[in-house]
Amino acid sequence: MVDTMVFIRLLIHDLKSKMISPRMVILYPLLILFIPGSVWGFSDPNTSLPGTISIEGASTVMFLSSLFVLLSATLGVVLVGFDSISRPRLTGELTIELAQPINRTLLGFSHLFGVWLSVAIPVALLQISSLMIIQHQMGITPSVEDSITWVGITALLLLWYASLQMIASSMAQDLGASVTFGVATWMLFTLMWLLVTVVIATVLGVDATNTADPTFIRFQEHADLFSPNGVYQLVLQNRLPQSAQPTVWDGWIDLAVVGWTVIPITYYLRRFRKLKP
Amino acid sequence: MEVLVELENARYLHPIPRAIIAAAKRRKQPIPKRGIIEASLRIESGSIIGLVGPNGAGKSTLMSIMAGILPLQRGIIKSNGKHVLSEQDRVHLRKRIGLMPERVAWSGPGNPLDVIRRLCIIRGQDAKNAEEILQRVGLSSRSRDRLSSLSQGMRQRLSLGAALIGNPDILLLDEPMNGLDPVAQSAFRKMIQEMANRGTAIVVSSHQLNELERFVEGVAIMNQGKIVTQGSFTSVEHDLGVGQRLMVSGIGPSPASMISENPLITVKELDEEGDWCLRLTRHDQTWSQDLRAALIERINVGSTKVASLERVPPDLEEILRTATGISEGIDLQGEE
Repeated sequence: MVDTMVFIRLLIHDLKSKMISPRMVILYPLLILFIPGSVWGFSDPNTSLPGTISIEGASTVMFLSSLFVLLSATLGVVLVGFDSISRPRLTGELTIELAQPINRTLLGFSHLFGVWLSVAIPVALLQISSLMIIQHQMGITPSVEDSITWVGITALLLLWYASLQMIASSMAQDLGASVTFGVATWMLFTLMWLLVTVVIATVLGVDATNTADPTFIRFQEHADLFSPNGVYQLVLQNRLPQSAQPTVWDGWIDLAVVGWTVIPITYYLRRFRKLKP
Repeated sequence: MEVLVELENARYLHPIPRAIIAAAKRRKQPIPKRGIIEASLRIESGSIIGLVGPNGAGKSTLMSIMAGILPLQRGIIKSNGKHVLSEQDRVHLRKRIGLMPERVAWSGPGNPLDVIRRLCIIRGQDAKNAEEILQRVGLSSRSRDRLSSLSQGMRQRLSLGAALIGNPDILLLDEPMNGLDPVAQSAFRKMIQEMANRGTAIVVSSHQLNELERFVEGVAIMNQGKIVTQGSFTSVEHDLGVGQRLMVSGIGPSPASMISENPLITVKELDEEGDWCLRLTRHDQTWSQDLRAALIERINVGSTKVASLERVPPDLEEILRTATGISEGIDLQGEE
């Protein structure tokens, strides 16, 4: 009980300092521009989208704006978290922290949650304000299930990125290595994943010359289970009208959500418990 | 005095990089060991122990073990007589210990007040105590300055402040006087003495041996991962055989050659006031009162007379040299 109170007080202290840090001050305009901004654009009845994309309700707006969440909020987690362990380790501050009478697991969680929530809270607030934008622009109230799924899975996505970044930060011997790992991970899942999928598909004999081919789409959906961004989009895609839903079995998506939540956090905490100054 | 923490045959070896192991094997040399090979130490309430040793002797590693940061690979650690085994035991141990590591390069967007408040929260203390801590270490006027603007001395004070949170029973201070100005050093010594008088045990590691001598009561000498000797200055002098020196001066012809005839005594002529001044070192035993009386009788022949005779206490530097075998011509280019 005492430890839990210490954990909560520590988390609140860390959140206060992180949420007003220069990095977050730079990030806020980007988040505003990317999340409510994209929702504003997609929910505008006069918007014409390229190709065959059509807005069929609030869930479609949320699904389309997820691309902008992937481009801004996940990068925010990388930028906030890349030095949260490696810097104090290099300066010697971590030695003082590890010498304090607090359970290592709780201390590890406070570092992880500090990074995660400092981005996830503003993002969630912007998403909630975006729901009001949808209501204002389209004249429809997004369903509670859709809204909770959108906000919740975005928060989980940021937790996955935060745990990956904390693993990198706890491994890094210098700040450069940590930020490189974080940005490289972000680039792999955000910008390069389609290329990786195409290469693997070709190697496995799946025709990747036509990305609209149902066999390739099915393969791609399965490959997406191994990417946090892919899982994020599959979950949101599941809320779309029947015709646009993914073909991959729901159970695999649920399993991927659990796996991406449990495995990186467990590995990070294991590393943190054995961390040496 | 109550034994607060006790280490018995403690061992913690740092992992050696594969490249170094491979190089050692290539040269058919033994694989180097870094860390603590074997250390036993008792920390009693109110004691001030100086932890001294050459670079790489394992002082900081030993402090990390005592602070409950590094787990033991062998041996035992007891806190108030109870074995420290689990993480929960280490948490209890850390509650009683305040650690000031060597040269913390405080940085980041925060300020000293934020740092101490955060540590107060972790220690389960009221964050309001932070200002009092900063006042205690003379940082209250800089409490809201950016960490990056602090000088090395100010950063040392902040690290000391961090160690003082929660009034720990044991203070582990690694090179605490690095970067402190003379006034701050004096205030630091006074504070340490006051804390020891109140029952806090203090372990200070330092290379500034002349400074250390001014306030420590006993020493533990480390070399190559081992505690070579420990105890009060007198007992360490006795163990190392460095307490057998006399300074003799007088008038008339110098008795140096006559005394040198005894192979058990080394004679060194010193350039002091008076006709002659000699430093005599006995290699077999200490200069007892009888031996000193016999020496005076032997010297006082003819016009040669002893004017003064006093025992020369060894300084900490000499103790360290004797204990570790480091000669004056230390090879700075060699591997630490």
